[in-house]
Amino acid sequence: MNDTPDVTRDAPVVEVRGLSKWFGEVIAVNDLSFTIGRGVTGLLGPNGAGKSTFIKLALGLYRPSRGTLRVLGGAPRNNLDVLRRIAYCPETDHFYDNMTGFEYVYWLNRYWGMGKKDARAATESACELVRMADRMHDPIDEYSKGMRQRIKLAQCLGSRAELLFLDEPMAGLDPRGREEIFALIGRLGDEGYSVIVSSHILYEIERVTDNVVLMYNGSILARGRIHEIRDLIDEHPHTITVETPDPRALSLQLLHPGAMSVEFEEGKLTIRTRDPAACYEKLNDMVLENNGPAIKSIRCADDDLQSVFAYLVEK
Amino acid sequence: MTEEPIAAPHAVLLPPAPPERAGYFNYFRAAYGHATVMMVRRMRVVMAAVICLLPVLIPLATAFLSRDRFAQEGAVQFRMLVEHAHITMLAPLLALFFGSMLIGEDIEARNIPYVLTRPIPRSAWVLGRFGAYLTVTGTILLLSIGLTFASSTSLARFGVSATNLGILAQYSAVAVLALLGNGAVAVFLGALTKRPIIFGVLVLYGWQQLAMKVPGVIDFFTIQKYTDAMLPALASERGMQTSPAARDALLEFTREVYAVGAAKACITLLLISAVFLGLTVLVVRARQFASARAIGA
Amino acid sequence: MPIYRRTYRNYDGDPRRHFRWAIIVEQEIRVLLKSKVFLLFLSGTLIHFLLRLLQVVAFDFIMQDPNSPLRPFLVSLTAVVVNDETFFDFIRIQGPLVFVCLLFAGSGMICNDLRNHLTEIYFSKPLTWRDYALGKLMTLVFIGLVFTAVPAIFLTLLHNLMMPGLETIQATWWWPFSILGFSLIMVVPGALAVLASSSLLRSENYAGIMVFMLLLADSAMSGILAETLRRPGFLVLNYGIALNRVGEELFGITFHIVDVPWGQAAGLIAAVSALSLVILAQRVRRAEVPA
Repeated sequence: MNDTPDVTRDAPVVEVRGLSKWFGEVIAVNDLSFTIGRGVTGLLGPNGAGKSTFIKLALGLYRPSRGTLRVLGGAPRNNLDVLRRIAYCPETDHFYDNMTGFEYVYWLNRYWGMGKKDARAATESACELVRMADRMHDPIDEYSKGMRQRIKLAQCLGSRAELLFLDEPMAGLDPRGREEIFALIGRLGDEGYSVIVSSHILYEIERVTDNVVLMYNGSILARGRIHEIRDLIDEHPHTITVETPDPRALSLQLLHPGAMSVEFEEGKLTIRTRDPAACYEKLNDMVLENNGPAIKSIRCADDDLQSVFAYLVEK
Repeated sequence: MTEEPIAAPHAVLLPPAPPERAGYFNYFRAAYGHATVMMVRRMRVVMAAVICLLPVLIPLATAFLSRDRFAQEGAVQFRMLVEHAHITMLAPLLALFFGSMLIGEDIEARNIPYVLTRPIPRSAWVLGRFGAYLTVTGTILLLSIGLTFASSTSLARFGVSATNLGILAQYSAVAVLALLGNGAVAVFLGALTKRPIIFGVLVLYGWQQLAMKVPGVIDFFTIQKYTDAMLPALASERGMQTSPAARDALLEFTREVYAVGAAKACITLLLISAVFLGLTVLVVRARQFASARAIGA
Repeated sequence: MPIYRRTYRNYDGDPRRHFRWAIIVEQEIRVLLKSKVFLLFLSGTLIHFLLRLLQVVAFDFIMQDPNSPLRPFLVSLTAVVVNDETFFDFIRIQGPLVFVCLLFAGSGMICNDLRNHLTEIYFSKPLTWRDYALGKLMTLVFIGLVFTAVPAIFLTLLHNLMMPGLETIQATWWWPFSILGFSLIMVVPGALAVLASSSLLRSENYAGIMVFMLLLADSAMSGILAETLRRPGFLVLNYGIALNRVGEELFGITFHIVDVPWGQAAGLIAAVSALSLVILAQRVRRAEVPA
C-alpha cells in the first residue's frame, strides 16, 4: 500500500475498510467500512458509540486491531506526511501545567515546525479567531470551561491543516460560545477545509453540517443527510408522560390518529404516538382552554438521540 | 487522469501556513525549548537544586565546625563528596526526578496526543526533550560540583591550581556522563511504564546497588560500573561502602572485580545511552498512549 | 437569593457512627489487588516468608530431636537459630519492599483524587475529611502490616505450636507485641509521609520521588556529616538507622547495627510523623467544604 497522501480533490478524506478496534475484551469500533468526503461531516452517536476511538484511529493514536484506515490517502499512524495535513482538538481538558493560553498554543505550533516568529504570529491569529486574544496571556488554570474549549480549538487552528478533527468541540460552551463555534466551523467548511465534528447532540451537528455519520455501539448505523435523521425521529413513536389526577379522562381527550398505545398509572398517563405534534397541540389547547383534567406536568421521555438509535437498531 | 491538486485553502480565515517540510533541527529545538520551559518553571527544580547543593555545605561545616579541621585534606573531601554524593547518588536521583518524567509526565497528564498528532519526528521530540533534561540537570549538578570545589578550598592543602582544576574538569565530565547514562535509562522507563518512579527506584537504586555488590560480572549491567571506571585513580575507597552485615554474608565469595578502562567505559556509556534513547523512540512510536479510558464508556 | 459557592452538596442523611473510613480502605484495596505490579510485590514478600517458614520448621524439628546430628551444628549457627532477632531481621529486611509498596500504593492516593476532583464525590457522601484521610492512611497501614507483622506473627505462632510445653510461650509471649510495634513504627510514618507528599503535589510520580529524594538525601547527608565531622552521633539523622535502632530497642536486642541513642531516633520518627500529619490534615481539610 502506498502511504503517500493523496492530494486530489475527489479523493475521500477518510477511507475505512473493515476497521475494528478492541481493548482487551471490549470492542470499541466494530468492522467499519465507509468513506468521508470533503467538507464538514458530523460524527453523531451516544456516549460509548466509538466516536472518539474512531477519531483516535484516524489520527494514528491507535493501531487498528483489524482492517485498514486511510486519511488523506495515507495510513495515519506515525506518518508525518499525513499528520502535517491534519489537526485535532481533543475532547478532554488536558493542558501543560503553569502555562498561559498563548504559551500552550505557541509551543504546540512550534511542533508543526514553525520558527519562533511564525509560531507567535500563528498563535495570535488563532487566539483572535476563537476570541481569546484578550485573555491569551492569562494562565490556563484561571480559564473557565468555555475558555479552555476555545484555547483547545486555537491550538488546532494554527496549522492551516486541511482536515480538522474536532472531538465534542461544543462541550462546556455557553450558548453564545456555541454559536461562535458553529459559525467558525461553517466558515472553515466554506473556505475549503474538511472538518469532522463529533457530538452526541443532534442539534449541535445540525447547526454545522447536513452530512452525518451515525455511530452506535462501535458500528455505523446510518450515513446521509441530517433531514433524513430528522424524518426518522418524526416517524418513530414518541413517549409522552403526563401527570394528572384523572389519567383515564385525559386519555379520552388526547386520542388522535397517530396514538399507538396508552398506559395508566397512579396519577400518571403514558401515551405512545407517531404524531407527537398533534398530541402536544391537544395538550396545549386543554391547558389554555382549561377544559379537561388538571395537568401537573408533561414529560417527553425519548425525544433524544438515544431513542432514535434504539429505534434504528430495532428497525 | 483528470484529478487536479487541491488548491490551498483561502488565507483569509486562518493564520499563515507552517513550512511545508521543516528541518529536523527545527523540531528538535521546539521540543528542547518546550521541555526546558516546563522544567524550569516548576518549584520542583528548586527542590532538586536545594538537595543537590547540600554537599557544598559539608566542607564549610568541616572547616568551621569540626574539631579536627586542620587534619582534613580538601582534596580527599572534595573527591569523596563528588564520588559518593554527586556521581553515585545525585546523578541517578536527578535522572529519576527529571528523566523518568520527561515523557512520563505527558503520559500521566494525557497531553501526549497533542504531540503525537503533530508532524514532529518522534526521535526529534525524544532527543529534544533529552537535551533539555541534560541542560537543566547538568547545570544543577555542575553548579553543585563547582561550588563544592570552591568550598573545599577552605580546607587544608587544597587550592585553585592547574592540577585541581583538571580534577574538577574530569569529575564534571564524569558527572555529565552519569546524567547521560542514568537519564537514558530513566527516560526509557518513563516511556515504557506507567509508574516510572517505582521502576526507576528499583533499577537505578535497587538493581545497581545489588549488582555492584554481587560477585561476578553482573555489575557490567549497571551504569555505575562505567562511571566508577572513569573516576581518577586516587578515588576514595570505592567499592568498600558495603555494610558490615552484607560484607560478612559475602565474605565467602571471592569478589573479582573486572576492571574496565576509562576510554572503554566512556564509549560503553555513550553506547548504552544511545541504545536506551533509541529504544525510547521505538516505544513512543509503538505504544498507544491514548489509553483505554478513551473507549467512551 | 442564596449564593452557593460550594462545589458539591453535603450528605443530608444520618451517617454511620463508626468506621466510616472502612469503605475507603475496602475500595482502595480492591483497586490495588487488580494491579499486577502490586501482586508482584506481594509475591516478592512470599519468597522471603517461605524462606523464613523453612527456617522455623527446620529449626523446630531439629531442636526437638535430641539425637539429631545437626543439632549442635544448628545451635552454633546464629543466623539459623529462631529467636527475637529472627523476627527483627525479617521485618527489617522487608523494610525496602514495604517502602516501595507504600510509594506504589500511596503516591497517587490523594493527588489523583484532588486532580480529578474526586474529593468532592467523597465529601458529598457521609464522609468527613478525617474519614477520608484515615481511610487512605489505614489502607497503607494495612498493606504495610500484610508485608511485615502478619507473616511475622504467623511465624511466631507456628514456632510456639511446634515447640512442646509452655516454656516457649513463656519466653516468647511478647514477640507479637514487638513485631506489631516495630511494624507500625516502620509503616505508619512512611505511610503518612507518602500521603503528605501525595497531597502536596499534583502528580503521583512526583509525589513518589519526592519522598524517595528526601529519604536518600537524608541518609547521604547524615552519613557524610558523620564522616567528615567525625561525629557518629549525626547518624541518628539517618531515617533508616533511626528506624532500626527503635526496632532493636523494641526487641531488646543488645547488639546495635549502628549505636545511636534510641530516644533521639524515636524523636526523629515522631517529628517526621507529626510534620507529615500536619501537612496531610491541612491539605485534605482544604478540599472539604464545611457542612
